[in-house]
Amino acid sequence: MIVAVLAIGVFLAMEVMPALLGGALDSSRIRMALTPMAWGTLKAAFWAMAFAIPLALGAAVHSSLFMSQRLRSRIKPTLEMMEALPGVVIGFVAGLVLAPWVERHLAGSLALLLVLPLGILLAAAVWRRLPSAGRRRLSLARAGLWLVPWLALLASLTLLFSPWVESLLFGGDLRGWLDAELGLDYATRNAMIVGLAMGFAVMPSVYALAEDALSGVPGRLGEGAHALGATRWQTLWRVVLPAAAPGIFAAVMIGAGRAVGETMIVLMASGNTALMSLSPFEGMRTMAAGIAVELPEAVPGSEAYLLLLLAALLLFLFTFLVNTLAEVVRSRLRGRYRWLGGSP
Amino acid sequence: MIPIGATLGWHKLRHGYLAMLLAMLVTVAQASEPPVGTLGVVGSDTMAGLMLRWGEQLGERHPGIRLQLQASGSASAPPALAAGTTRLGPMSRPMDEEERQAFARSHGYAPVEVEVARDALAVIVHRHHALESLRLTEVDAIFSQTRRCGGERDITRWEQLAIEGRDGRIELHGRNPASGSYGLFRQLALCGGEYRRRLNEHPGSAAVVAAVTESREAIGYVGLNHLTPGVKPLALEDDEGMLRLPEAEQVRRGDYPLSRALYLYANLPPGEALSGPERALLELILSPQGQQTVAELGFVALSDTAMASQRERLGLDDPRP
Amino acid sequence: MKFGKRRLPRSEGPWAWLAAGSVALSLLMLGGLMLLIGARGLAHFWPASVEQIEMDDGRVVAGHAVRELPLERGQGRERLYFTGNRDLDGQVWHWLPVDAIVARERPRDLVVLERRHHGMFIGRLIAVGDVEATPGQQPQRAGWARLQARLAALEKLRSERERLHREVLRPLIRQLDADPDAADAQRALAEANARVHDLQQAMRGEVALLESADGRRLLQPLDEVLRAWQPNAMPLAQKLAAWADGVWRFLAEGPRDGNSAGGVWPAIFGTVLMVLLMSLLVTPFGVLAAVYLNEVAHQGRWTNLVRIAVRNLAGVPSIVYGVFGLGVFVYGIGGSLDEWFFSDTLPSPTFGTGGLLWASLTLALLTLPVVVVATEEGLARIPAEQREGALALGATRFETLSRVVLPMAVPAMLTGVILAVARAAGEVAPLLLVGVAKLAPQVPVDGEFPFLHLERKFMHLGYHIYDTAFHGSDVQAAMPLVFATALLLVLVILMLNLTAIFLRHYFRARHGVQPRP
Repeated sequence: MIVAVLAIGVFLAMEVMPALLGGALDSSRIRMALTPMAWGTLKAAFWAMAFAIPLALGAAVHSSLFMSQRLRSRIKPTLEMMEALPGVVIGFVAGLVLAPWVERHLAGSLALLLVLPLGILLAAAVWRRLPSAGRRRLSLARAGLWLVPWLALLASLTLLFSPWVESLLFGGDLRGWLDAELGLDYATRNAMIVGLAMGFAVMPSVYALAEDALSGVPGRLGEGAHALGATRWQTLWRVVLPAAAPGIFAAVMIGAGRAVGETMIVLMASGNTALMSLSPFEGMRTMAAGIAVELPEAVPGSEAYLLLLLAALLLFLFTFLVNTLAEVVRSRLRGRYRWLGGSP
Repeated sequence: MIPIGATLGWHKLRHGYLAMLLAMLVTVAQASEPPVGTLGVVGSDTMAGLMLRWGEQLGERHPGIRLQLQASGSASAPPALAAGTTRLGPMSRPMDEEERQAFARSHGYAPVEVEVARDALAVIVHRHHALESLRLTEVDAIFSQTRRCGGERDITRWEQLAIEGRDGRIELHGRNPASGSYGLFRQLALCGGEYRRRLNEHPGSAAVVAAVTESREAIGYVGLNHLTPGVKPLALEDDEGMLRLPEAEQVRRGDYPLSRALYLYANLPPGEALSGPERALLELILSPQGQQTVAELGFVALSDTAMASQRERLGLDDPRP
Repeated sequence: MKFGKRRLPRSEGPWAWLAAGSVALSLLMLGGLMLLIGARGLAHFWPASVEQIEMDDGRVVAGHAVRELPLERGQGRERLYFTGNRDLDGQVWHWLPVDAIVARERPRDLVVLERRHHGMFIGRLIAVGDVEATPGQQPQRAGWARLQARLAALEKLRSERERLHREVLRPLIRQLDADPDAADAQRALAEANARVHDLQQAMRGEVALLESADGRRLLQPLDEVLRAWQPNAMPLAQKLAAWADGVWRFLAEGPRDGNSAGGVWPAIFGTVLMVLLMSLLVTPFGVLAAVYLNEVAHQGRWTNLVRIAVRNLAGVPSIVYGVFGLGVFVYGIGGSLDEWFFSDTLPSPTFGTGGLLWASLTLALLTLPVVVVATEEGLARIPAEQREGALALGATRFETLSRVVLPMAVPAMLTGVILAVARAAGEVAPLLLVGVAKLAPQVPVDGEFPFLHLERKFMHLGYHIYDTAFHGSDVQAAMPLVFATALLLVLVILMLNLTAIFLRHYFRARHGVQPRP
């Protein structure tokens, strides 16, 4: 039964291998067709992970170590619910709403990247000056909630003032400035947008797995560190994180696997340009999107068809490797926790 | 009919409705013995909307006729016609020689080609763009890296076209390789050359229009039926130096360089008459009502002479045998 | 609290705050996205007020504002108005520079008509009258009331025609297809045809004389008009009713005008049908596999390997499943089926092209790991005492399994299936390859033998979003509809997920078992 399931990979290989070995596809064609796609796939996954990893790990750390049990049992399903959002909806919003919007508010959007983290630190600094009653009400344990309106306020202020800053610093046209000063081309549908949208889609699964790994660390380890006078952050950094590191690694790998295979978001938000550049402001083409658009029209057995099947096989192999690695690491980790004498 | 027009301010009304109402009354009067049957149609997806709409109207005229459409691309029509699984195949391009031969091999005669509408690809820019027209060689130099049409240098920035107040890199938008527009534009505008890598290959024409609507640096190409006021179609300068806009009249005459015809191919042995349902469908398509549908969906209707000559060729005006 | 300040928890440093901030940021983005989809999706059905705008060059247009953008180099702003009247203007949009607008008002007599062709009409109703009216008879002036009455009557005629088509015509045509010479059937058909013609004649009887805001007139046959309202003269209650009506039509009707108007009923139907078929396929396999893995097989290296493989499959990109489905099901199995059973219609494929069956099969494969993992989790959570107790009382292993273990694991299985359904409902990429259609007016279930047509293409909500947004004729016009469809899809999936979460919670609470580490 299970063997039948495993047949997927075998079948895919069977479809492509004869052509590959039999010389129906010569290697220069393969290189020409697949290199931009492979490059684009990795580029999209890279920017998605660049966005998703800090967010997901930050959220995982916060909810596993700082949040109260009750709040955590609410927040965690909510964030996991993000995972259920269909890619086609996220892709549509990213491609047709977000991308043009960001292009029009380029300065503001880029400023947000800077303003939001600074805003959080500002909130922390203000918090330290608060009287104790205020500190207690706005405790760090609930910071995930009460920071939301603060961030929303900051974001709207940033967008309100950014045109003014833009005209002051960049002559009112950041895009032109980028082009003239740095030689950077800005395409509407670019890696940044894809990264944002796909990071949003990938983040929940990374978060869920990393959270599991962190909260699975046996409680006495942390308690011991606390007893020795470490702050919670020190405990995390020196004790919990090293213990959970393999689990977090596995979470990131699984996230990367998802980012590589995500289709609809890239299809709708990437612009499908066969460029090979590093710039976050230019588009790319990924294997998954290429398959989705071209395969239904390709004649079975033709060169284009085989190339696309080869791309599918590559995708399969890549995700299979990454996932196996992650699974092995995870099952090792489970063993280690048991050995450390944590929860039963 | 006419009198109420007079009371309602006739001169202000468009002729279309009169024609339509007339056509309706005429067909209703004609329907003595209703044709019955299912029309299987296999072919172009560009024309899917058009065929569906005609099918709907056909169902209204003759409730006994049902149209079954399989819109899987122009390339699917010739094999189906040749094998005899369908007798009607809409195509957004003419059949090529090989396809014709395949048909002739299996049936012993040539398929009947009916031109049912005209269409064109428009080159579009943002609605506030200063550019009004382009030479064909410039279009090629903008979109392709091979410049087969004879441009002297690549055009990658708006400054190179010497338009006032517009600089920056040109953002290219087009369709994905599997689409008909991709191939047609490549053939007509790039002289068969290669597209630039920088081209944004969108999976749908509406997405091209949406992208160009939002970006002042963008240029793209789409079928006429996708144009909106958010974008501006450019006039193209043909070989004789005439400026041609993708307007109905220019497209109808084929003066606009990127225009094409849409066809319906029929399997009709020489000397035989069309079957009832087929006749009814062609009757509809080559009628003012059918052609009005063409215009309604954003394509270009046939000229009256083209319509009349094809009606005659198909024997639609003869009394029924 | 003397040393209050000191006794407060020590500061945790900036990183802890950044971590908290990332939770906040995620929540903010999630909330923002949901708000955007919700607001834009629901606003689509609201009968918004219509403005009449006068420009400084004397032009007059009527419509509602959709969006506003700054013009280049600070030359003010421009606003996009939806103005309808495609048949008069050749387009439904007007970009108007805001500075050039002289007057904006909301006259109460502006009407909005939703039509079967040409989309919306926005303007004034001058009169409603008979087509056959003679010159002396001026059409009535009290047009609005008559229009409403007429539309109600038309609605009845339309459903009568539908009924005739469904109950009389189609069976007759089928009969005639089989036996073209059946004389009585032909006679019956001619009669039915005549009745349909009479109905259509009755529907065609009246026209409305309409006038656009700038005074151009047009004759509108009333049978083309689906709905009419006067948004500026509507009280709130009436607007709410119109809104509800709009939502209902969206859910219950098929798409019109190349998917850019109308409803999504066939897509809902197709999605549900496919997901049902998929659950039928995936449930037995998934449950059996999980039971085997957890209860029957010897726990060891091999089962662990299989477990890893199953989880692995959950991580394989959906598009790869699509490729597999296309290669194996559609071209492989479907192609052979065609050769064996449907060779008379070749080369037009019957099963050798994407269709309902292949799509369900592919998605069943895709969601198999979800069901296996969830069921296994449920099985593992059942305390060993239960099994041991049953065995001690003399039950065989099979009896233990079927009477004790499986009933206890039912909620877990249900959870798994619901999660699988939620995943499948939102998955579009594989469907691009194995069988959705842009427009499939024939739903895969009808009165024709064998009633359920597994080989037909079908419409799907997720694909509908992609298609309308990218392949439609006008994105701007389709946008509200896309938002509404997206909202529907997201709501359905969230509901399914919430059900699954609730079930899981309930299960845990009832058995009071600790989760496995």
